[in-house]
Amino acid sequence: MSEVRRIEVDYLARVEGEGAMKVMVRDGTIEDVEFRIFEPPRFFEAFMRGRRHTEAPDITARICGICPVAYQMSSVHAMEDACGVTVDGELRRLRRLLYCGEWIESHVLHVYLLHAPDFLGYESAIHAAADHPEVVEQGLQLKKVGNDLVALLGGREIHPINVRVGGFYRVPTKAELLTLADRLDWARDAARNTIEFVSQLDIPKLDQPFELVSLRHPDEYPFNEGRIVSSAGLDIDASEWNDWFEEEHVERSNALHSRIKERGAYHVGPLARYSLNFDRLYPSVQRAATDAGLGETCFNPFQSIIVRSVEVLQAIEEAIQIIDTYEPPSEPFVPTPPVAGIGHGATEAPRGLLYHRYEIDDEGLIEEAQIVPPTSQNQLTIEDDLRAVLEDNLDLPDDDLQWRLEQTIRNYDPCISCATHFLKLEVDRG
Amino acid sequence: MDDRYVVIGVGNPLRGDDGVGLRVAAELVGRLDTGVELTTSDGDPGELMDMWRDAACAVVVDAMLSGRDAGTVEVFDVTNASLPACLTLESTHRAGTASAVELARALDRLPACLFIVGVEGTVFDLGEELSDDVAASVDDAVTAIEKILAHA
Repeated sequence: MSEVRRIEVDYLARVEGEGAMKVMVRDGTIEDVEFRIFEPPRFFEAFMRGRRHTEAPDITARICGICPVAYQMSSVHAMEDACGVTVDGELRRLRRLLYCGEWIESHVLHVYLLHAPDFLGYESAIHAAADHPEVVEQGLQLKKVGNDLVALLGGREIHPINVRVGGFYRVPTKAELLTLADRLDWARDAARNTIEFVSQLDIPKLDQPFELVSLRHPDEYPFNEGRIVSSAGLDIDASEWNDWFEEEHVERSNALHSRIKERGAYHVGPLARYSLNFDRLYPSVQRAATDAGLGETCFNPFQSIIVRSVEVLQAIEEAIQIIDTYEPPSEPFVPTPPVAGIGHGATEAPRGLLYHRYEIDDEGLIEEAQIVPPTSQNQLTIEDDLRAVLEDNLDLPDDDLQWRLEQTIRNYDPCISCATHFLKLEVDRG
Repeated sequence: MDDRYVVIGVGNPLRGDDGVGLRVAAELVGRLDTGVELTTSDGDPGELMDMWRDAACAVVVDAMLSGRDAGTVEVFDVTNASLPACLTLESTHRAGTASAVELARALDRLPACLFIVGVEGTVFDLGEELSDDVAASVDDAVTAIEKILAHA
């Protein structure tokens, strides 16, 4: 008689969207590991065809309520690439400032409300709040700073409306930005407290042989620009994406699985950015990271909660600097008349690299669109992590094992709604 | 604590009956006593807690999905009691009003009194229109809110 252990979670909690997990172990041998995404596909690439290139940031912002800025940024960079336009100076810095806001709100939401309960042993942030009200309160206030930054630059907190190809519809005055200065100073201290807090959590040990992939820029911690690099030596321009990466539909997921051609799974997100760009962090942020026990690279996905907190501090430091030296640009945008061709954009969403590719005609109408979100790229790696955690923890009772496996998935802050794109829709009507 | 009164319409205007809280708020424009604040929210718990911060009385009107007849208007006093279990189902996409109430309770950030006015929805598909039953209940929800404020 064989012993079968089956752990199934039909609806994963504390992740965005509809996902499930199933593992099966027979006689101590792992037989099946599935991270399933069953949220219906959303067909964004398909219905962008025929729309104007200038509509891309507003349409793609609707993909996600948590990281709409990432979609806007990758789309505007891709369109500007197609049109041969470069946006720099204060407009470029304002884009980074907007991205700072999104990183702060998204990372803080995950650190405090979605991920910390795993480490503290609570079912939810509400349960954690009863015992740690000052911690949760700090998280809420810190998140609000990010929300308000996005609202100020983007016109509203969710699905911002002020981003356009070439820049913004309206740029803020210096006085408007300075209304956030005091709160950002408070947020810097709160971010340091956050790093200290998460570094003291009981963090499981795991050392995964990831191939880490992120942007890398000559001077900056990556947001909007850079080459796509990896811990295994990849170093390419965004335009080479499809030469190196491939997407595949598998039955258990409505999000395409990504892999590096002839190599397989890879990892995008905070760990990748941090490990490939430690030298691009501000020195004060580097010190905060090392004080928290991190090395210059990080291959333990359970430490992502610390790395996210480090990135929150980085974003706040950069936001303070941008606001401090800001001089409003003379024009809110650079004209971008359409040029027939192909444009590529890769930026760093909170959850990792987000690649967009558009083909537009000479009137600016979109002929083809390709969007590769971070969560879809991480699916194979999440399953690899689940296998590794299973192997290390088979002695745990089922309830504890399930808890650890769900925590393993939440290490990635998966945004399932973002991930459910289909490049192709094929209907066989017989 | 001051004498601040606030009415908050919660919902998504693009998902059918989920927009009823916003529709009720729109109906209340110009009908509330001076000094009663009227505002709207997408239901983010942090935002709701800021909106009802230090209020003597707050009323939140939102769509509900409880199994009651479509268009049913129900008032819940959640100052000292949680919403019924059938209304605390969590979305996989966002936290909602019930989470906001319980998070506020844990953080001691409830107003002095807090009422939830629920309107039973039935159609939550894409679209800006309310279903007939829910549209017909907007006036009832307005009346319920006016009664709460009259006795607050």
